Amino acid sequence: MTGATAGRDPAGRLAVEGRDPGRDERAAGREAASLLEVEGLTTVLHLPGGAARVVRNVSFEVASGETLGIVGESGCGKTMLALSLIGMAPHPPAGVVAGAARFRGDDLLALPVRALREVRGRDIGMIFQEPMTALNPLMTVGEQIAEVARRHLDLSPRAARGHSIEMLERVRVPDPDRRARSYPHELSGGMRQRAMIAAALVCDPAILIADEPTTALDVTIQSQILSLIADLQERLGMGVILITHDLGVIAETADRVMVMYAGRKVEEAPVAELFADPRHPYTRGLVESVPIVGRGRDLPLAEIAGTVPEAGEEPAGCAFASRCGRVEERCRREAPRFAERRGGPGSRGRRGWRGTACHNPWGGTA
Amino acid sequence: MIAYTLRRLALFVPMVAGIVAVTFAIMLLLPGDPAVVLLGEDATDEAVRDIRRALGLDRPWYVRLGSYYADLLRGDMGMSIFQNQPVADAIGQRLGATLEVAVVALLLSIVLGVLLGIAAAIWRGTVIDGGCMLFAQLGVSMPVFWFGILLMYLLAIRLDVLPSIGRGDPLLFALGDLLRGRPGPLLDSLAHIAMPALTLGLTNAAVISRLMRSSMLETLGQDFIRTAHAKGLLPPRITFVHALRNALLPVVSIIGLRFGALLGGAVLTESIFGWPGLGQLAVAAISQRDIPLVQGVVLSFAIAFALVNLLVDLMYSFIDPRIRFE
Repeated sequence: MTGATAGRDPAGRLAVEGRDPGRDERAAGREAASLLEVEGLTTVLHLPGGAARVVRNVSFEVASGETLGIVGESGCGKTMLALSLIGMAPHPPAGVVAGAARFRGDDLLALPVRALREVRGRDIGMIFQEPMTALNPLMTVGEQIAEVARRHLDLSPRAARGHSIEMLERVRVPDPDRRARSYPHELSGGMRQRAMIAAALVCDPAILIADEPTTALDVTIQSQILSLIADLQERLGMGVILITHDLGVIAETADRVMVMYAGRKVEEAPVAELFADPRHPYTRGLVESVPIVGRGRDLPLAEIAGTVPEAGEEPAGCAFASRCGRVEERCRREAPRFAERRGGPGSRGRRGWRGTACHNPWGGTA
Repeated sequence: MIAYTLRRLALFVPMVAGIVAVTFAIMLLLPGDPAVVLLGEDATDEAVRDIRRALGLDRPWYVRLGSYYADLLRGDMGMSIFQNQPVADAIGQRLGATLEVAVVALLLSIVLGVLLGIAAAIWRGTVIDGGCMLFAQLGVSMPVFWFGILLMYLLAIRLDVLPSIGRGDPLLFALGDLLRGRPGPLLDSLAHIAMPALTLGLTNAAVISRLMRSSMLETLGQDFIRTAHAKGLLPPRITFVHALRNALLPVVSIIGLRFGALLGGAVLTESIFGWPGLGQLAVAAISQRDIPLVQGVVLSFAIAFALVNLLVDLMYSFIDPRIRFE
């Protein structure tokens, strides 16, 4: 968990603590057009036993300055979704089979790989979970940042080196001049992740995809990294796609949240609404299984019974039906469609809508 | 780094002492009395006793070992029993030739093995991969002498493009000639060394290409390669800068060990191609129980092997910053 916790207020509702209170105000005042519009993205994984749709018909939007959190258990397709966007889903065995991702007039999913290599690192930066293995152990941190500047900004080696030091300074690495000459193993986990962020932001990208950026870090470092990302986002006006399985991270940083289960989007809502009033039984299960400090050790922690369906296993109805407490006969027969609902309490303007894919959600159907 | 190198060099002294002791022990345990071998089975006991005294074989083993050490310190490796010349001279005349063919074979096998391994990994599952791995399979399974004779038959006898036996000028001298504007000797030396080096390096190239392929594939699957793609880097940089250096680490670490096998293979290769090196000398010395000569050859091989391994270790630390010698 991070410095922020999703706790219950006296009325028993979930509240989001530890957030910068100005953040939501700013987000509300921003009604920018979408930067990235993803529609019906479907990615297949070809397995020996046949093809499995690991990302199924997922749609979402990200605006400048907005943070979209994507949550779900491991294996729910969230990383595959992110990789698919920039043409990096391992191919073979994976392949995008349907959908569109509109970004600056292009459909990313239709771009040839040559053009995508221009977009990656320049317009869309990406950082990964484990900064130890995500950095090349044989190359100095400075070189790994500078090579992005040389590739996309056409800088000379000397200018690129200067730029890499500047980037390290911007991600608040102390003594950046010396650190640029360090190798990854000489840095702490937090410093390594800062260096990763520096490399991803060299070209001031419009979008930053952060795949579990804090999972491998200590709790105190997690908070620092998250607030660093938020600050840089504020300054650069980036759209951020934050992938995590940690609801605490979502509570601290996301504006909107998309919950994924077995490759599908099952719920999407503004962050406060999602925590206060989760509609999908899976989302509610997730929110309730967050441990709360001081709640008493003897009270059992809520859990979601059962396991995620295997990739390739495609139940006829709702993928969550076998684990769901609110399951109805219809759920096993017919997969629920994602239904949007606008103008709920607390919803503001264009980005205020919420929706869920459930036949029998909490709070009644839309 | 310099301190480390010096310390490693200093360790050579006890190591050489150890090697001497071990070879000495093996020679003691070897069946067959050198005096009897020298004189023939039907020599009189008296003659055998005289020759043993002349060779110093009548002294206890520890005295002989001690005096061998003392001689070594003066650069004296003793007299060869059959070559009728000091061991140091006999080795000095031939060591260069063996090291030359072994080093050329090593470099050839590294270049060949690494390139084939990379090609096989990049084009995995294609005809190129299949071809490279077929080569590797043949390389490890084909006996050195068979491949050598095959090469000789094809290139020297049928096509007549390379000389079948012998050695040209030493490569280093020939290089010197080239610098003075005379390329002839270098071409001649290269023509002579081509087949022995290829024969000697074949197995090694095959071993390296297989290791390189798997190491490259493993590296290409690592997280930092994904990061490199996410940074929008171009494939040549990803393959040759990010992946290659990492993939080379296991290859570098076996090169030192492979050099030992190479020195062993030199014995065979030299006899096929009439290469005037230590290998031939070693075979003769062993069959004749020429103990001082055998010890001298083993010692030279051991020191060459240790030096190459030191070089490999230093290279390793140069490539991998995580290994720093204090």
